[in-house]
Formats: sequence, structure tokens, C-alpha cells
Amino acid sequence: MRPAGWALLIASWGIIIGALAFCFYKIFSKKSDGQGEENNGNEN
Amino acid sequence: MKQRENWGSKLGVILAVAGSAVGLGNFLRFPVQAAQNGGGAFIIPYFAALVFLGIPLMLIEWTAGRFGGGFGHGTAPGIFHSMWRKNRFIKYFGVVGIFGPIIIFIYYTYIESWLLGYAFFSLTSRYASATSTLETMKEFLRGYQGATGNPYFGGLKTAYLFFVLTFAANILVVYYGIKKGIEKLATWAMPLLFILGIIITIRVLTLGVVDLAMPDRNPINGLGFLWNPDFSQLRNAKVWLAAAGQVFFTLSVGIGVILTYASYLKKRQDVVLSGLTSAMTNEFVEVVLGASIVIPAAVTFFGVSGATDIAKSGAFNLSFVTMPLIFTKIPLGAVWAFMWFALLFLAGITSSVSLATPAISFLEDEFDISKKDAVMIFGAVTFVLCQPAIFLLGQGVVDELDFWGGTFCLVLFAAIEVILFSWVFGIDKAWDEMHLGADIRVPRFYRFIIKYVTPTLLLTILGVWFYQEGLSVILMKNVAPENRSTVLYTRINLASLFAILCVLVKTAWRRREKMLAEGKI
Repeated sequence: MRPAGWALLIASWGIIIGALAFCFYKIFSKKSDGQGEENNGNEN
Repeated sequence: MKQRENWGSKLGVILAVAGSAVGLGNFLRFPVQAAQNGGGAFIIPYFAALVFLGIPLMLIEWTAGRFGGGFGHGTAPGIFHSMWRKNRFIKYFGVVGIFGPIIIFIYYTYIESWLLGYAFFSLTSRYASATSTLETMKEFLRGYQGATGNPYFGGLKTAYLFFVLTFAANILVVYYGIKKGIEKLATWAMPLLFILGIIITIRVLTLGVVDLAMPDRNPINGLGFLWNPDFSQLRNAKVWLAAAGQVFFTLSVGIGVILTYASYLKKRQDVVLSGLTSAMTNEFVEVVLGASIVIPAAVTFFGVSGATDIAKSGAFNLSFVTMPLIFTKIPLGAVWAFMWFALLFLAGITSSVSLATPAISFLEDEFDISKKDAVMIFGAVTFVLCQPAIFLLGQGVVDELDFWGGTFCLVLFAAIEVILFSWVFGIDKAWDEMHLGADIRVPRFYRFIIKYVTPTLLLTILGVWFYQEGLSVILMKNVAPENRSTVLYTRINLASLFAILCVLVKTAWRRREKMLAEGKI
């Protein structure tokens, strides 16, 4: 594989894995599970 | 108003949406598209499409779905009506969001059943006698599909048995509902899919040189075949359209299923972080795992020229012909082949149950039909609708269903919802609604993207398609003469189904107005 191929692979994987790690970090670092208290079905 | 179900946990809904998005395309379509459209350079338009089309549409569908759910609507007709109450026709545009998933479901379930069949065959060595060449494996597949009578299969009986099993499994999952059916499936199937995907990826990337006489044939050169960029391809509009199409397919946006899933969220439950997480989970499976299996394996065993031919032969051949053949050449091949087909089957079933959900939710929400009855009606109707896809497979039926349900409706529906969301509902109100209970904030420049860039891109794609291919598709110029009667028959059926859904929407609204006038709701 050429250096440009490696660069694109590492950059792409880095962006995706980084974003995924950020998302799951935010989810699991919340004290509660983030759900609202109100049910969605009582507004009409 | 009837109390609607809710998801059991935040992780559950994220995995369910990711499960809907992760499908066969992640492992089969993406690597082929990348290999054919500039290799590593394809990732540039792909990421651009993700940022300007995929993520905005994902956010819109999560937000609009949760908003509509607050008014007791889980499908596009009701959700669109909730967003534009003054317009009495907008609900009919929403029919596309029920029609599309039904159409995809009726052929996708059949293809999914092949995976179950091949998983079984890999453990029982059923195709062992066909693994001498790619041609014999193709013949085996054609026999299984009933396209030709051959020594491997006498007819469609085996394929039909696996179809019935797969169909029943789908119906059983949706029968148990959102929390006990779909969420439960996603919470064990998605981690298992990850584990299988990672194990197979590691196995493929550590294959090394299998033929010492040809050291160029190795997995790293396979990655090179996929990732080495050909930047000159970026001047080709076709490459950008292919990237946009891939992002659409992969994220399950523009179908209507995310709207329905999000309608079961609670009023203040986050949609921004959840939507982004489900999108990134899908991207991990596609770009990291999906790109590291079939093409590197094909280059390792068949070389770059062989892999080029295989990539051109399409996703079905990659999955059902090339990969089983490759697995016979490595130790414990039957186990690896089983894991491969199990991986694809899990990817398939987590998607197909999501496709069943809008129609079932529509019957429950708009006609007050019980879950059990709605599932039974859906099961009976779609079982009948699946039959042409099975018995007329080689006569253009599946291609026709895939075009209208899985391609055209996606772009059309996405264009309708983004315009409705950002222009009619209004970007200020939409932005506030999106951030209600949000765990993270969307960067402010996304207001501009959602209001201007995404609709412009979608309308451009629709316009370019209509200019380049619209008329020839409508006039069936791209259909082989011997298939024209079955394609016409399929189109009549599709038009009839769309008309029936429109009548059902009209009936549901009349019923609702009557009940409102009588003070029953």
C-alpha cells in the first residue's frame, strides 16, 4: 500500500473511532441515562 | 390518546437505530463502491456526503420522529401533519415513509433468508462439492435461487424453507414490540455482530501470503487496492453521486424507519448525541470493518485483477460466491464461513425488523389496532407480496423493487422531510426542538447546512437523476425485453399498494376527525 493510502486509512479510521469514543464517553459519563421524565404521548 | 410504548434504555434505542443502519451494504456495497470510484479518494466525497447529507438527515429524522410521537403519531403521515397542520395534503406525502419500508422489506427478507441458508450449508458442508471454481459456486447459487435446475438443487424448496424461517423470525421480533422485541434483539445482536466482525477482520488481515509464488497477493495489498487514492476520479461527478448514494443507503435515512423508532422516545430524551452515536457506530462497521474483509480477502486469493472482476460482479457474488470459496482454502473454513454468514444475517435481521415497524406502527396509531392484530395483518400482507420476489427473481422484480423502494423513494422522502423541517416547520423552532433534552449541542453552522445545503443537494440529485435517467426508467428502456411484462406487473402492484396506503391515510384522518367531533379523543 502506498503512503497516501495509509494516510487516508489512518485519518478515516481515526476520525470514526475518535468520534465513536467521544459519543460513548458522553453517554456513559452521564449520571442518569439521559431519559426525560415525561412520557411522549400525553400532549395532544 | 392511547399510551404508546417507550424504549427501555438510551443504549437500547441507539443500538436499535444502528442495527437498522448496519446491513449487508456495510460489508458488501461500501468496499465495492470505494474500489470502483477512486479507491481511497472515494472517502473524501463520502465524508462530505456524511457531513452535508447523512448527519443532517439523521438529526432531522430523530427530531421529527420524537416530535410526532408526542402527538401519538409514529409514521410520516401523522408526523408531517403534526408539523404542518394547516396543510391537508402533507399527510399524503408521508405515505412514502410507509410505502418505501414495505417495498424494501419484501425483497430484503428473502435475501436475508439466503444468509440463513448459507450459514446452515457452511456447517453441513452442503456446498463443499461446488467449491472447485467461482463458476461452480455461481451455479450453486443459481440452483438455490431456482434460476436453473442443476445437480445442487432440484427446485426452490430449500430456499423457500429458509425464507419461511427468516420471515417468521422477523414477525416474532416485531410481535414482541419495541422494548421486548426490537430493543432486546438489538442489545444482543449488535454486540455479537461487532465481535464477529472484529474476529473476521483480524483473521483476514493476518492471512499473510497464501501463495509464495505470488507474494503480491496479500491482505495489505488488498487494503492498498481499496485505499490507494486516485484523486483524478474526484473530477468525476459520478463519484460524488456514488458517495452520496452510499451514505443514504448506509445510514437508513430517507426510509422512514428512524422517524418511527424516534417516535417511541420520551419527550425530553436526547436525540442529538443518540443520533450521532448511531451514525458513528454504523460508520465504524462500514469503514473500519466492512472495508477490511471482502476486498483484502479477494486480493489475497485472486490477486488485484481477480478482485477487480469480483468487485464488478456485484455484492451478491462477493457474499455468496467469493467468500465461501475463500473460506474453504483456510483452516477451520467451515467455522469461518458460518461466522461470516451469521454476521451478515445479524446485520440483515436488525435492519429488516426496522423496515416492518412503520407499517405496524401506522395501523396501531391511526386505527387503534392492537399490536398483535397489526403484526398479523402486516405479516399476512407482506408474505403475499414477497412471493413475486421469490418466484420471479430472475425476471427483474427485485431490481424494480430495489429501485423504487430502496433508491428513488429514499431521495424523494428525504427531500420532502428536509424542506418540511427547515422551511415549513421553521429552522428556529426545529433547532429548539432538536436541542430539547440534548446531551450535546449541534454546531451552529448546521443551521445553515440543514436549511440550505442539504435541500439543495437533494433537489440536485433528484434533478440530475431525472435529467439523465428519469425518462428511460419510466419508459423501461433499461429493462430487458423479456422482462418487461413482469416489470410492468410489478409497477402496477406498487402503484396499487401506494394508492391503498393513501386511502388508508384518508380513512384514518376521517375517523380521527369524527372521534374528535364526538369528544372521544
